[in-house]
Amino acid sequence: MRLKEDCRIISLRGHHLLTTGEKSLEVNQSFAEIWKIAAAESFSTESLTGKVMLEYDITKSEAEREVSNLIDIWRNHNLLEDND
Amino acid sequence: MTDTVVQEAFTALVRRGLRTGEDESFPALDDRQWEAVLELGKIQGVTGLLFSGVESLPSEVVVPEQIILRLMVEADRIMRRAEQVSKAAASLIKALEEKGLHPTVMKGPAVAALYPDPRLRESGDLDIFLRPGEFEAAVDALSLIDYHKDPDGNILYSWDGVPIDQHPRYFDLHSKKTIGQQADGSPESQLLMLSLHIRKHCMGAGVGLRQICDMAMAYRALLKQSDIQRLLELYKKSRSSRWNLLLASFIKEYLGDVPLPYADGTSLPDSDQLHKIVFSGGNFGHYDPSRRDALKKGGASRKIDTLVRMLRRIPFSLRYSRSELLPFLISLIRGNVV
Repeated sequence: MRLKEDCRIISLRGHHLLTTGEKSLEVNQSFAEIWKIAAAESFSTESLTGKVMLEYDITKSEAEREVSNLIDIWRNHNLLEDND
Repeated sequence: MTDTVVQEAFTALVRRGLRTGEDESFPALDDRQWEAVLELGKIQGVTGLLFSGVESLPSEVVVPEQIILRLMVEADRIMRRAEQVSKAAASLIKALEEKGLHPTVMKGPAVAALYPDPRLRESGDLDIFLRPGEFEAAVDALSLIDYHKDPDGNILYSWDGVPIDQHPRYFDLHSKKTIGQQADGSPESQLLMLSLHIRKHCMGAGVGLRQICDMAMAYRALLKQSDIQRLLELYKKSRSSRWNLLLASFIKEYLGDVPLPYADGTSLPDSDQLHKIVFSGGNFGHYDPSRRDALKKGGASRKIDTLVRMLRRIPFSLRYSRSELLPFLISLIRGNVV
């Protein structure tokens, strides 16, 4: 899965925004890097979990929980390509 | 009247965005003043430069969160628009070339490429030039149905969602006694084209800071490749020497460290007259309240307003574009009547 093609992350002075051209969501600074990865390339839940573990130095179960929350947010805001 | 601190902060951010004044100090602003800076950016068509300028500010400068969010939203809009215009330019040029025509992209994407971040230069329409013989042929070549001619002889249409302004003149010169209209692709021609375009708008509804930033970026990128003597000769032949000194004075005073085609010690005029034009009406004069009303009404109101503005600018035109004034007026009157 991946974020829709028109999703972009823009950053300014420690703030991050995910935009689709029509709407925008402020991204928590803590996970901005992961949002950027999801916007740039396709990912599986497992690969994203691995990246979150490495990026934030957290355990696998913590990472799985964060990834699940992120995917829910993206799905709820209709940001995933497979939402259509 | 704009608060002088707001004006100072605004031009400092523009210089930071252009990378012509990055080490300057920056004044402390309150929330109201930051709002005023953003409003100036919108009026002058340089919000993308403000984004870039704010990005470069030292971390100890306090920028309100709502300003940061608005700048991000605006910068995203500007970048998406720039991509759309760039794609439209590529497909339009390809379509014309496939029909054996030879279009030249003017201003817009061509000059955006000269900016530190081309995506942050605000794009409006796309300007192209086609020489006589090919100008009218483009209508058939593109199978255009919905198009019209403006009083200045340009053909206006839409391509891939982008307004296209197709010019029969490369240089905004109506006087026949100056130079020809060949776009030879040289850096000197490009500089002259941009300069005369700004002058033309100053003779009428007005011009904003965005166009002058274009000129500054063009000077920075193209002057080193230019034959300066040839450039100054072109300015002289096009009867725009005095105008270009005024433009250089404004760039030097407000846009920071930009190379200019004049030797050190050259006396430059006071730039107040140009400053007044830029800051009274903003981007193409659209933010002057009476101009805004005329544009909303359209039709005859718009044309009358344009004429009134040209008449008001006669003192400026007599000083900086004397040989161009009458031919330009005649051309516009003819364009409105025919």
